[in-house]
Amino acid sequence: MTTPLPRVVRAPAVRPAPSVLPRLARRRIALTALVTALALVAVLVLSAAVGQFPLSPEQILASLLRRAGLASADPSQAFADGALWNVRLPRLVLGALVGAALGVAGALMQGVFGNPLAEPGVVGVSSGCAVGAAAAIVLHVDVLGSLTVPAAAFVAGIAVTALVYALSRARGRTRVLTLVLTGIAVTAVANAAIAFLVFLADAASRDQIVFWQLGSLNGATWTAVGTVLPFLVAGLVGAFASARGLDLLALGETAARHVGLRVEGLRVVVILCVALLTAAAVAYAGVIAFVGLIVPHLFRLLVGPAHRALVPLSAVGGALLVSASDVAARTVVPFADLPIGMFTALVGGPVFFVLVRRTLAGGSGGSGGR
Amino acid sequence: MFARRLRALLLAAVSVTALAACSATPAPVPSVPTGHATASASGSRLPDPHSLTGPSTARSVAEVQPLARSPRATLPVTVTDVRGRSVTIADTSRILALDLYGTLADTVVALGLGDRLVGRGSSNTLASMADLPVVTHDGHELSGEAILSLRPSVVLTDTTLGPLSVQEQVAASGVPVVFLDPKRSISSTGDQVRAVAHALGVDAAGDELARRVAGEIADAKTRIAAMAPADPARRLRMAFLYVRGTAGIFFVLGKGSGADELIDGIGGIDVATQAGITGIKPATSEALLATDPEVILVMTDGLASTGGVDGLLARPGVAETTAGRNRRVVDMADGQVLSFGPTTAAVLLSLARAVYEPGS
Amino acid sequence: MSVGQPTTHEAASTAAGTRGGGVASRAAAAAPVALAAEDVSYAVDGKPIVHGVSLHVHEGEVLALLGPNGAGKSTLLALLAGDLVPGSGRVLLGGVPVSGMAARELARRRAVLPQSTAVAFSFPVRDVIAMGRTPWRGTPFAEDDPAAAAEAASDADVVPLLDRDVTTLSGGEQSRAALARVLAQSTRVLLLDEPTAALDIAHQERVLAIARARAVLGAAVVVVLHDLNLAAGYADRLVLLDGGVVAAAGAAHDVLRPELLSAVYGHPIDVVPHPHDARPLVLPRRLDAADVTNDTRVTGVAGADDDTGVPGSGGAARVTGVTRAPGGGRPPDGVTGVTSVTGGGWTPDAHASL
Repeated sequence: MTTPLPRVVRAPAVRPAPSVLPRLARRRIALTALVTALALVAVLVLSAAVGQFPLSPEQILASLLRRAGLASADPSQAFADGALWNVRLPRLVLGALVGAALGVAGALMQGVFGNPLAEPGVVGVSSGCAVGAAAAIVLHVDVLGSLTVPAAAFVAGIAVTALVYALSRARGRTRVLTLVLTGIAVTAVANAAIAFLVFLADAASRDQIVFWQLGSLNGATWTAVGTVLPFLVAGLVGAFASARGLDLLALGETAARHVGLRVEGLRVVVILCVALLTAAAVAYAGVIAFVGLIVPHLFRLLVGPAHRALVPLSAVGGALLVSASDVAARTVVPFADLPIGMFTALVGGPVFFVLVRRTLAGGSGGSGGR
Repeated sequence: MFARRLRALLLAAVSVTALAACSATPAPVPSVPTGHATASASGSRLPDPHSLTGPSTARSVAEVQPLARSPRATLPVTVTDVRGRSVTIADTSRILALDLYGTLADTVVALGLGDRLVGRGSSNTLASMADLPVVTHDGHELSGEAILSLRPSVVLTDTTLGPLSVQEQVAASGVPVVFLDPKRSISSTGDQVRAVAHALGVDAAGDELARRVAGEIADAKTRIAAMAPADPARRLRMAFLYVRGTAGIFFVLGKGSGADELIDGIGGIDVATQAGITGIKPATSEALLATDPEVILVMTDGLASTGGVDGLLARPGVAETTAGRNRRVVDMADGQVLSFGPTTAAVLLSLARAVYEPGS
Repeated sequence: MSVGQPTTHEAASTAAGTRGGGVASRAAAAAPVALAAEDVSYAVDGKPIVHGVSLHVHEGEVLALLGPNGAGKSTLLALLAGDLVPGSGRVLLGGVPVSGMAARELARRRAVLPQSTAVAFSFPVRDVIAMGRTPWRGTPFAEDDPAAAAEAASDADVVPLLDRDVTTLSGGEQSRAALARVLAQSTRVLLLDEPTAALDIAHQERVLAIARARAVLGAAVVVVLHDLNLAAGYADRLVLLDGGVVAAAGAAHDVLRPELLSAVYGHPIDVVPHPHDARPLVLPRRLDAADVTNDTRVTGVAGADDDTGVPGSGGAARVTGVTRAPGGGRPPDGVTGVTSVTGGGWTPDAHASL
């Protein structure tokens, strides 16, 4: 077996060994996680309580008890139950899942690109997924039942993520300018493809695409929740498994390899996960940009860049951001259901701008800090 | 199927002009065109339609009149809807009838069941429905919660509103949801009426209304025949242009789009159909010059959104057509002109008047 | 260590090599070979970057790779590290071909300090150092993590920086943090690519002293250097690359010869004995401003370029008296006596004086 070089034997009195190993900021991470999770719970409760169907907290509680079998059925509450269980709850659960998926996808992309600007929406992965979903709708592919559309989005997502990765990287680095320009190019091509698919579509498919392109959680069903969930779980598992590798990748591709990272393997896993997560989100909620940009960035500021903490926090944070945006989308203008992407972009646009400025100013022509 | 295309297009356009679509745009005051009136004083004779110039606006059609007798419903009724699903309706006391054109709600009102409607879509502009809560936003997107909050006992709808999963949410909550054929045309009006009536258990009233509508359409066509040139060769050459905003949304509606039936219904020649244009095609300057219409038909809000007649004329090719030179642009309310419901006859008459006797 | 070397050069280098700096080398020569390149070539788009290089690095030895820009030093180091796969020839790490080795196994055998040491995200320095311990995760040696990391931080003089954000450090500090990570990896082979580039004099000396210290513990160290005097001061062997081939190899006295250096670098270079320890001290001649321009405001001679027709060439020729073969990296034969650098069968055993 390979053994390390023996260490220098030193007199302790001469050179006291400092504690050099990472001090896991456990308390800080725990506090951040706690606050974020509580905020998420609060937003979800608020989200369950507000809507066009007037539901009092007592009604919601009673409905929950009935569903749990702890209270007897009440036919007079059939519509309240329907509004809560078929409309509101699937919507808020789907919103949280989509947010978690986008948050983690963002963290993964930034890690593998070594660039804080990488984000599914910004670099065109979301648009790529949208092409796959649109193609499945237009061409009436229905091989996997309700999984067909997200699966098609996933396949297209893999292709686009790999393409963006190949196009935007040169000599193991991702330059900011290249990344952003690649995103513009990929998004343009994807939008052209969607436009062409809409042109090809028959009326029913076209209606479906138009509704879906608006990017909304309106019409969330438990079927959608059930479809997104396995994608999210698979993506999360892959993300956790990749966390340490992504830390090493921050050293640069070559240096990461030097400390024993199988860079190619990690890359494949991460790209698969990004495609899975983005596809799951895009297939049911359309393109919601900037979630994957803001959330990991914010948590990196709070708990540092180590991905073991960043990945799960990005999931919770993404869920929080999308859920909160959804509450805003439903309530800011009475009886209107505004696009969620409007709210995420409201926060994300300025953050994106600041990041671009900083990375361009920081590096020589913007090497993304790598 | 091309009517479907148009509908899809409408859908897309409505999403663009969502806010505009929500507010009821007051119809612009019709400007009086000038024509070489051959005998305007006589009152009985109309000006030569070929000589008319200037734009005109079709009057908004009157509200649909309900049947005289209140229908008696036979319930429950089980229908197989257009999506092939079997739906049983046991109670029609709280009805929601929702489609992009408002045709379904019009039909319910015409059947004498208007008092059972508990909500409306933003395209339902009938005065009798003005106080009902709106369950759509952005013009065509349904809200599951808003629908359920009205506690409907039956929902009539089609795919022009959505997303589909909202209707599914409502169905999952135990409300019967019946999907009807989204096709709209003059010839299918009777079937449409009967399908709505059947789903509400009032087949007899449906037959009666269908007969009435057919009679009204026949009557309207007779009256229009008196306005339009009798000689087929002298008929007005018309094109229905779909325009929205100032960017790329500019199409000519051809054979099978519904516009061909409309133009035929008001005694005109659909130049697009004549030129072999089927469905919806981009209105290129070449297509416009080749067809050279004498009258251009447009939707009122669409015309406003492109900057009025001047905006339309600024589009390439329009000003060079005969209609463009004469500023002969006739507009009609977006929600009415291609809706083909129980008010079809009124729509035809109103549009014919705007074309043949503007300012009357 | 052994280096592919022209036969015509052997006599001179052997003679020169007897004078000094050979104690450690002799010790190392008996030690096992830790890292070996066997007739390694590497080309990009048909253009050879490294051609027919053979060398052996023994345990306990510091080997300096020298040469002008574009000589192939970093490429050779990347080939040794297993980053690049040679077009022909092979690299053996502890007798095992590098090409078939898993990344983790490689990482337990050799550590590499790259030229670019920037880190993408704001990790604290202590996290970066800990990354160097990654290859030992899950092995009994992971117990040494705290001690190895502490030692590395102390050696690289980054203890005061441990909690600093690595992306906000100066270039030299970043470079030292990276060195600490590399040292923490505790491998028996160390490959350092220009470790002194961004460092002040004190830290330059310190880094090479650390390299020596690791060699004393049994490590084989290959270090790419631009500073020939640092190489002379700390390395057991020097390998001078030129145009992808080995121009000279051996102890400092063998390699740091004025005529050879002048030819390889295309610049007049003097070598004098160091006043302290008589090691070769390399002194490039200074140029006049007029040597690099024919602007008459600088040269003071109107129409200077009329004399030669080539801008600046008059000045350069006047000073150096040496011209490089145009376009090629190889020095002219007449200057170095180098005629062939392939088929390196030159071993320490055959040249015991080294």
